[in-house]
Amino acid sequence: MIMLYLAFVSACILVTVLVARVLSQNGAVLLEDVFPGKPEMARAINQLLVAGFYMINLGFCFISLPGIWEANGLAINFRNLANSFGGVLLALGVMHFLNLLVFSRIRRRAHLPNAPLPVPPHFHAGAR
Amino acid sequence: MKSLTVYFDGGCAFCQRCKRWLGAQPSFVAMHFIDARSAAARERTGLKPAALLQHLTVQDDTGSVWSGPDAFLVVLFALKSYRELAIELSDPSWRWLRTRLFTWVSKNRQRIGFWVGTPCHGSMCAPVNAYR
Repeated sequence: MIMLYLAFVSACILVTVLVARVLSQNGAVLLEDVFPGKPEMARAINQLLVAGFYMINLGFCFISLPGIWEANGLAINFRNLANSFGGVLLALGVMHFLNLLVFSRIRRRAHLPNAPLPVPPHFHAGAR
Repeated sequence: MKSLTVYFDGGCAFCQRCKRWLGAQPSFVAMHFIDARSAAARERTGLKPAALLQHLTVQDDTGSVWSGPDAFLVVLFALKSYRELAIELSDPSWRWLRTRLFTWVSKNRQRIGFWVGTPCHGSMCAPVNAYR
């Protein structure tokens, strides 16, 4: 049974690290666009987001270890394992999209001051 | 756009409250307020009093004028906390709703004043129609 737990935990850590790498590598591009002259700022924000991502996902991995192990129930054991791992993958997916949302929101906010007028003027009445 | 002049209805307590609220909001550009019933408003925009009182009118520092629902959008666009909302609402898919909403607010501003605790008093109760 300890082998099952070890296998489960290592699989969880593996997918968490893989997704975190994808996030940080591609998020870095977005964040550099947000902080043009400040690459260290972009890097810092990226690291903070990735740290939070790791903690939430690994925490979720550890509390969702498959609980029941039956000596002769291969199908049940497999189902338990798949259930737990599925939960972890879903959590990763939700976190991934939340992160994307945060990135895009930060980016959009940074570009707000230079946004073009939403509606063209109706007419001109001489400069004041 | 470096500054925005809002021609508000000085004869409407609710509008005056909105004006105070607007003035206190952080904005991207300097906000100025001129009573739409004043001669200055007519001179600057070249609009008739009826038009100025029927619709909210705003003007930027280059002289561009917006009137009606679009003026509400430009006001929101000038505010730091509401620019995102203004950009979203400017999408054509919101056109039907925003036109009706802002037109309704303009038309019923005295009544809204009663609902939100800023009823008109004395000379301020002059009906909007009287200025057409």
